[in-house]
Amino acid sequence: MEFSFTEEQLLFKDQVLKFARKEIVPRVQEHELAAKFDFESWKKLGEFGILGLHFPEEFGGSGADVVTCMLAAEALGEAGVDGGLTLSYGAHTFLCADTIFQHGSDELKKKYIPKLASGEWIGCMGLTEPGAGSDVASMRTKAEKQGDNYVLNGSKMFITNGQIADVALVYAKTDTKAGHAGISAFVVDKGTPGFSVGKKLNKMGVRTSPTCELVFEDCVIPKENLVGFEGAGFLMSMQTVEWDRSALLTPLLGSMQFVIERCCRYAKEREQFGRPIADFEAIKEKIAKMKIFMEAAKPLVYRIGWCKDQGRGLNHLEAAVAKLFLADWSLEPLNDAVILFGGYGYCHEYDIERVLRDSRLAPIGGGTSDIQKMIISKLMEGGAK
Amino acid sequence: MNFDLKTQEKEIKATIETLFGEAELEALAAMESTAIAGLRKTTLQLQRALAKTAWWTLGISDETEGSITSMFAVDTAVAKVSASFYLALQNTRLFSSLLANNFKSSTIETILKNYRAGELIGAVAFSEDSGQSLPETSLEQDSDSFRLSGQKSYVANSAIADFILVFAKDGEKQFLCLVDPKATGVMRTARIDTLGLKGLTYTNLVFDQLELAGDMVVDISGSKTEQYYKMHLNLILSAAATGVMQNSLKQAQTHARAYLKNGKPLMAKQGIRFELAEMLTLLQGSELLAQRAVWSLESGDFEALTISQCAAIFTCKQAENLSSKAMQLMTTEGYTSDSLIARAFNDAKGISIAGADIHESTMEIANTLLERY
Repeated sequence: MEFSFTEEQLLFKDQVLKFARKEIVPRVQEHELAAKFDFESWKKLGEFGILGLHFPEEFGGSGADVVTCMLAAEALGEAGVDGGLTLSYGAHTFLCADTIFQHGSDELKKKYIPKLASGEWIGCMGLTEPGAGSDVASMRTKAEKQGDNYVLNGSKMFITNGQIADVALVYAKTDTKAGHAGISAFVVDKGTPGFSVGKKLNKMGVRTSPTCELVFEDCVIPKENLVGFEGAGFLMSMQTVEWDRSALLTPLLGSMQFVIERCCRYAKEREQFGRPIADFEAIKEKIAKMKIFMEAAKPLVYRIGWCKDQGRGLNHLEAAVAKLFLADWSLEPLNDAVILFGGYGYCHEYDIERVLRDSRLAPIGGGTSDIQKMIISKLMEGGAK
Repeated sequence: MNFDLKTQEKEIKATIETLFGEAELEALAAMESTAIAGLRKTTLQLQRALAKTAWWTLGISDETEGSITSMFAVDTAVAKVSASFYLALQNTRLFSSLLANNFKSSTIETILKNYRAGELIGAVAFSEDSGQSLPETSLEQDSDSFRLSGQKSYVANSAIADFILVFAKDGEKQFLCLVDPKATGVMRTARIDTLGLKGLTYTNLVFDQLELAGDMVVDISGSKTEQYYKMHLNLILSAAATGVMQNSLKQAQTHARAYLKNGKPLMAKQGIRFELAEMLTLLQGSELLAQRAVWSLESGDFEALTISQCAAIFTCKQAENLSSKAMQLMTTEGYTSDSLIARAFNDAKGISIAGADIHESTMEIANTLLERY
């Protein structure tokens, strides 16, 4: 085994880190407190090339590999970019644009990818429904073929970027009796008659990322907007889930590093009983625990990216293991960080409580921790690891 | 980046797995309740078989004998069979590696030749009653020779070792001394009875004006030998802990499939399946962190020491956690003192205590970070 990144990858990560610290981080607190999406930062992410990093140059990207994308996402978290912006980026690039790129027709790719890669258009992905989350086969949204069109009816819930998206990648049933094999994916443009968005949901964390319901009422879309072929939607959604459980997790890894650095600096500044709190073993133990956790999580998360770069199919076990590990068990060290900061940890000033609030989504979004355990145990039943 | 084992590593692993048939496993189980003489005999017997594999000499010296990353990739194949036996082997290996990289004389060549044939058992004496900090055992120069005085605590393998490497100091200088445990001036205490790791012998050592020839002593002041020793010990313990975790998960999984409750296998219960899923997740996290720590050391990563400390702490704690979870899952069957899971549970605690001072390592990690940021 070998755990190195290439020089180019590390150099790029460093560039993203510097860019984010200078251009984005100064705007984070204002937007986070107001729960406002930061369009200016979004534009800058697009100009820097992050939003379309892994797409080929002809589509406005840089042709980067998956690991490089993950490093860039990690750098955003490490710089102190909030989880809301990184979530919007992840949903836009990996869950929406990548699916169109991987499975869409040439026409769809030409029409959507360059504008999504540049950030001119914002994308979202509609899979979850009020009554169907990880149990995708239970979805009720239907797409009925009528001549050269499909007619969509139903709704999608908890959709990241829903309110601000120009393009929605929507999963719906084209065959209600075929279970997973009856699910298909469609591109729906903002403003299409019959397509509306609900009220923005007020969330505990990732507050700069707008989340809402998508509603489809006799929404007519041309058959050309079918992504891939009828019935291919479930497989596509599973492939996006790998992104959900890898690149979308790396900002959290970066946030751990951000928190460690902040904790160290604060512990050296803050004095109690006549000496810096960094002198106390209880404080040191908290800092060390954060580091140990982060180092244990890193290879698990990057293994998914490496597998994807190797062109290996669906790495469900590895993805679920990484997600469960990082999402579930990051909460304790992050909670420790809040406590280390004492009263300040509970205030907005140092951004520590923001990281804890943002990270609280990790065991919920992209399949809860219980879902990850279901996947892992199911795969384990095939035999001992 | 590459998360796959190399072809050579896969081949060595497969070869090692074939070496542990029913007879060998019985011999290893018997080691847990064998007197010292029997332990030495069994250890050498199994060691000779392992010495025929490429694994045995990987990473012994810098020049010729390959990668420790490869070695550790294969390590758990041994560690999962018996943590005691694995630690006994690795103490001998660490002894030989320190010897090969620090000493130069014809005597050393003979010792290393014996090692390569699997005919040698070695030990390294570092810890003292004062713990893991710099040794108090002192060395005095006496014209061309030296005199060693002091004591070392809980020295693994020492009761069955042919040779022991002892860390000592003379004022500010630090030395590594090659000691024949049968020499006059060396006293080995009776074997220390431990809760777990019963197949590994621990004794204390007392040196009373032990005379050592000049070529049996090396000045290691200013070198990274002590750091090398500590890092390697961290890695060995990580691999041992990972082996215990693999074994614990296997036991728990086998039990959950076979044990029937209300006419259904235990595995049918979601709570049990979720527990196993958590165990696998923690195991995989431990495996990769341990392997990354070895790679960091070999590749000269600036964080190698910190990562090795992280790996030792994390894997040791998770070995305790997983063996405990497995015992809970197996209920009374796991709680019987001759069960494999009870052995794993006790071994995990032993690994957590052996060598790595978790508290001190935790503080060192924090100090490094506080200095850096």
